[in-house]
Amino acid sequence: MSLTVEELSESAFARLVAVAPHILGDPARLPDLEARGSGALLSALIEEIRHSRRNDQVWLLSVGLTGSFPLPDQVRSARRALLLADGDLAFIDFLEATFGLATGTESLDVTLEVVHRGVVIDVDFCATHLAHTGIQRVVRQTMSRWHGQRDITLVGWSPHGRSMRRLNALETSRVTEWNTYTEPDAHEPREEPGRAHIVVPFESTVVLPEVPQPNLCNVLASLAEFSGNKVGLIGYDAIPVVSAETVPPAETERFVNYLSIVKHSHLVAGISAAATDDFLGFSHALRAQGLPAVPAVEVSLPIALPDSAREAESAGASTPLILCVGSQEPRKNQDAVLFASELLWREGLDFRVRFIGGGSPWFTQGFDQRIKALTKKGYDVEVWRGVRDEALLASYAEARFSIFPSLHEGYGLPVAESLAMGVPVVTSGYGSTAEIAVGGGCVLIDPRDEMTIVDAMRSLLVDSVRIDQLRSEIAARPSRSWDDYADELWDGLVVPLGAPANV
Amino acid sequence: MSKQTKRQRLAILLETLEPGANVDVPTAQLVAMVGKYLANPADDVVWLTLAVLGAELPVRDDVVALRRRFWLEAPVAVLDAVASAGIRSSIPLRASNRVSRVVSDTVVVDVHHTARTGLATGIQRVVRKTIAEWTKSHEILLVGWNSSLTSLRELSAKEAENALYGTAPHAGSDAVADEILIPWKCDYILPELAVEDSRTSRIAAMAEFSGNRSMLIGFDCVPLTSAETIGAGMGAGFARNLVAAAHFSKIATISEAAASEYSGWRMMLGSAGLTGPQIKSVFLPSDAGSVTDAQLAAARKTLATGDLPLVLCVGSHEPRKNHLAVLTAAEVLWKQGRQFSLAFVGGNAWGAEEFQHRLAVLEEEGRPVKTVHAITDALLWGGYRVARCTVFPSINEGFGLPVAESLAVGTPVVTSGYGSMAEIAVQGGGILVDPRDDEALASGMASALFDDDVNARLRREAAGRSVRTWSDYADDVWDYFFTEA
Repeated sequence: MSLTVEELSESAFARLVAVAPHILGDPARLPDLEARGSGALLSALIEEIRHSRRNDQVWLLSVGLTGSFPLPDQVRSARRALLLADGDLAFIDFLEATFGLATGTESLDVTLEVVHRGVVIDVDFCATHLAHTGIQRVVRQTMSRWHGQRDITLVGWSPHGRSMRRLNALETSRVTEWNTYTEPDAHEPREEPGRAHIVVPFESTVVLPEVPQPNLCNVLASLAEFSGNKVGLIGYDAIPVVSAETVPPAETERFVNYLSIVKHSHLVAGISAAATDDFLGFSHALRAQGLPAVPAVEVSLPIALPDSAREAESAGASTPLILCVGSQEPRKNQDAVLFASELLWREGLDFRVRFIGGGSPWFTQGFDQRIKALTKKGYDVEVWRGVRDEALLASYAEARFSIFPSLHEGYGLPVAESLAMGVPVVTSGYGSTAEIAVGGGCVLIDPRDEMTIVDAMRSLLVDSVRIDQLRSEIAARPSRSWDDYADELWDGLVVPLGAPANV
Repeated sequence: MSKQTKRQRLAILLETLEPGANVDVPTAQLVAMVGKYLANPADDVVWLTLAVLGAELPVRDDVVALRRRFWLEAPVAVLDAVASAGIRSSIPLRASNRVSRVVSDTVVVDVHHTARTGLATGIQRVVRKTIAEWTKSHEILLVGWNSSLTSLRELSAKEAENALYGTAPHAGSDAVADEILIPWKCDYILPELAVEDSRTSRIAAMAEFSGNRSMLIGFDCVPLTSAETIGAGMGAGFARNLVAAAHFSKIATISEAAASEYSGWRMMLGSAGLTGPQIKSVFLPSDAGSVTDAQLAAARKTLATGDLPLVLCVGSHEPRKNHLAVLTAAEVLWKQGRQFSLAFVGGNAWGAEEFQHRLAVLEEEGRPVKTVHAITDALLWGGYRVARCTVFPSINEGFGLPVAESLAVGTPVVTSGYGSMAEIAVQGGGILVDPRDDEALASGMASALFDDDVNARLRREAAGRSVRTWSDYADDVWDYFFTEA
């Protein structure tokens, strides 16, 4: 350990000055301390914390000193260093405890801004990736409505995942203008990154609308436990635990690490009542480790059309089409649809089945073989992958009904989408899909009992009165838009954590 | 598979479905006779058919696929095809000619890991003590798995000995290695932690479809609720254990704390349309091991420094056990000039680097701290008895065994003020602290160590605790599993 106070860089000094007002009991002392230099300032800050014993200040000073968010063990080490320090040598011990942190940063030469009593929203994935399925759709629909309307700071993470940063213009567009911005050619020269600048929320609300990448879980868990910021998150589902057999083991590993953030967070907004119950269940389990329950509120996703779509006109009198939308994987239960279809074709019913959605090769290879075998027998079944929204919407327009017999969903977007398109749905009679069905237009089945799927499909194929009845139920459903969701999420998740209610 | 094997398997299936049936008929007729039971068969019959004809316990996908085939095709045709080639034509049946044994109306206890391990940590001790008690008063069949974890088999005598007493850790699966045991209308008990995919997926299908009643001893849900405190890889294995448990009928947890973890998980099942098992806490007992005077003296010599009063900390150095907090609290007290020695008894573990570093610093500074990795009963129980107090500030425990053991021999303990540790200490003898607060831990240790009145009171309380035996525990679990509604 050779770092001394004298060697603290100019940028470290600037960072300490930035965090000092939030640590000094009497901020009026700052100009004097600043004038006396980094050693005096750091000693004063450490003395404050030795007396305040505040975890949030330990966290903040660690960030100020190193330009890097501390991991949970590093906060504990720093706290222990202060507890055990001998008088004047406290700053040496504190430096030593945070030294490992400093060596982990990409550069110590970073500038820092504290966002005090603000709303900081981590949209790292949407800002840096072009994927646009379930979670990204929710994030982009919501952020495009909050951006410019509400006082928020959108952030991503530094390359090493140890500090928050503001988004650049392109990243902001990816998050807030998905339907209108243009992704630049990959060969265009990139914006030259200047001196790194980090964003440090303090006494703020930190919203996690995404499920963070695995490398961010530990640093976010630390932020939630120690930083004093109020952390709120959107709770999507607990599929990787509850239905662990349907996902790769790595997905479960990732999710249990995510739960290490959840357990120290302050509020969860579930995307359905079922998802909310998942997080309440986890919260219930926390009493065994002496942690307070994490409250969860339901803010259900809307029944909304894909952007720029209009309700489908029912198609003419060709062979009825049954549409099955969603990624192809065991949890979505497409094989049960194939089985039910085959049984009904053998009964002599005439209909077409179309699957739309992608999937991993480990499943789709076998699935495609089963499709091929049915095609060979003369049955009308097809799989569309990688199609654009227009093709999807045209399929809805053509469909007699859609079917979504998933074993487990946090929400069941294809059900909502089908209803938004005015197309009746056969779906699972529990959890989030059953919740959506309450508003009408759905036939509920038990996805574990394929004969209930057979019965429902048969009924909707032969009974036009039933179809008409379901279509009129759909027409009578109260409408709920992304605008509604964005407002309700703000009121349900952000306001309770300290943000202003007014727009 | 030979024609002979196919025939044998069909005969076993028929005898199980129709006890007393005449199986001494041509194979085609056997197929026809079994086929009668397989027109739109119930799930348990599909499962049994697959298990017997496939000579291994099936996974969920195979049961569902076969069930659908029975709807689409004539039973006899499906049966003949499956008996010859297995459920998926792409995956032929193992060439083996092994024949299974169906056991009925039996309590089958799965101690696969306990039967083979030399370990004697918390879980193995609970399993061994419990099944040893059960064998005294009940008929139970101890089983394990074959080497590929695809089918159950009865344990060999040596394996059973190791399962019961831990005295034969290297027992091969000699005598009955080739057996395939299929429980039918049985009670299946899983008293240990199973996390291997092949095993848990087959247990899950058995619990969901076979009609056997399944019961579990639940230790904790730490891999789910405290992933940050365990090594990588455990979360996925444990979640798949829970997938199986979702189809069990009962879970006996070892504490109320563990019950609250399992109950929280059960609340999550609704989103998947499942209700989950009954859950009830059956509190563990604790041993009070005795030692000779010589062993006591030896323990003092090994663990304490000179005549200083001893604080003992039992457990491995994994992060969840919070041993860095113990070191910090001790250092706070030493810096105050307090005189005592500290000893850790327990194995090294994942994530212990910083603990080892801090320990080395304190040793270098000449602080009276010792660590012992190789634990013997004499050292453990001698240590509990010579200690002035013990300390166990774990972040999360299904059952804090060292808390119970310390109190069982009358030694005060400083432990976490929540969860199973608080449950154990509720009868007295403990000082409860917030384990996330090093200063609170230090002041708790100071009271137990240096306040003679407090120490004496805690010892009186510990001595007055009611004694719960392994026999009590085993009876309570049995009653919960078999007599309670």
